[in-house]
Amino acid sequence: MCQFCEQYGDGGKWYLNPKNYARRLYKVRKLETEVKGKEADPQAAGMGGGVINAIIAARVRGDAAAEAKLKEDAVKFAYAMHFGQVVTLEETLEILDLAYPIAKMTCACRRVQWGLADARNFTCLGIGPGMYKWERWPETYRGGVEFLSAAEAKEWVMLTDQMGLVHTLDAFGTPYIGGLCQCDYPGCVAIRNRLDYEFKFLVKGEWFAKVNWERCTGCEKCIARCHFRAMGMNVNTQKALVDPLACFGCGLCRSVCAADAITLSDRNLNPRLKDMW
Amino acid sequence: MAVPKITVDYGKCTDPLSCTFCMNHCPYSVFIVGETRVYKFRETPLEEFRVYGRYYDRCDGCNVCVQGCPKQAISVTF
Repeated sequence: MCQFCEQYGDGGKWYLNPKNYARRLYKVRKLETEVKGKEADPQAAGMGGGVINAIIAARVRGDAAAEAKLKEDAVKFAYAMHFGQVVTLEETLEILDLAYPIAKMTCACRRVQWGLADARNFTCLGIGPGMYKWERWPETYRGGVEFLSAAEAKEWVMLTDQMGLVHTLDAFGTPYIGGLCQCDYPGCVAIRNRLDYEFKFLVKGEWFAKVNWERCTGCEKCIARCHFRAMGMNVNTQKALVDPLACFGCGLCRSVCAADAITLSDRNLNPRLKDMW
Repeated sequence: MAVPKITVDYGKCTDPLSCTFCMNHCPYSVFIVGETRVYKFRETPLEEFRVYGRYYDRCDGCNVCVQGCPKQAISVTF
């Protein structure tokens, strides 16, 4: 079980625990922004942006010890305040029954990485009472917000799954969960920084994918769905491969498999993977 | 590590969020854009965004950004 389930799960998964969507937990935004004041550092844009600049500088200097220390400190802070975790489509749909209100909003990461126009960028879901603050800090919610019913949000999330976007949740003042992203590599700053710099701001999901080669037809549709560099084709058998050590358990490969060859297994029950988050 | 120095002339690049050429043409997505000020009760105006080459360690000096920048604001030097 991941450390957050142990601490905040009450025996289950922490993100399926309704307590972690409660209003009394919502406070980090105020602390963060009001202390910072009006000046903002454009180079710190995006989740963990300031840290990643320092990590890149250390890596370019060849200072592995400094890079490791930066990550250790940043991850400790992130896990106490603001970090992300990969979740499956089914879990996302369950969360949409727990959280209220739900609002579609523009994705800060994709704005940072692509400069994506607001009208094309409504891929984030803001959830919980934090969304009522959107008018106070409109830059965070650039382009406004669109409040949705749970049914509308589910329909939207299923569409983003078809589009091939990874579902992740975001803590804002752990264990308060305030965001459900649907994003991609490299559009998602968290996915990118994890894959390119091993910065564990983004935690793996509770699952990992397996391919049943009896069923796999070798159609290759799943390969392009993986954002985590965990999939390829086995040249000899012409079947899909999943690297379990690289898999984040998002389930996007599975949802496109017409042969039902891909299943998700519980990371916690695998002796090799249970401590790899 | 042989990495380039990527500089953006902010006298020339004044509205990166409306342009986005470098962000959408760099094969390695080296560029990011961020706001220089945050306001209560209103969005940051477009002229207060700045683009810069955060992920310069991924740059191989292909110069797609330098050649394509409509404001000729970017330089990449090794």
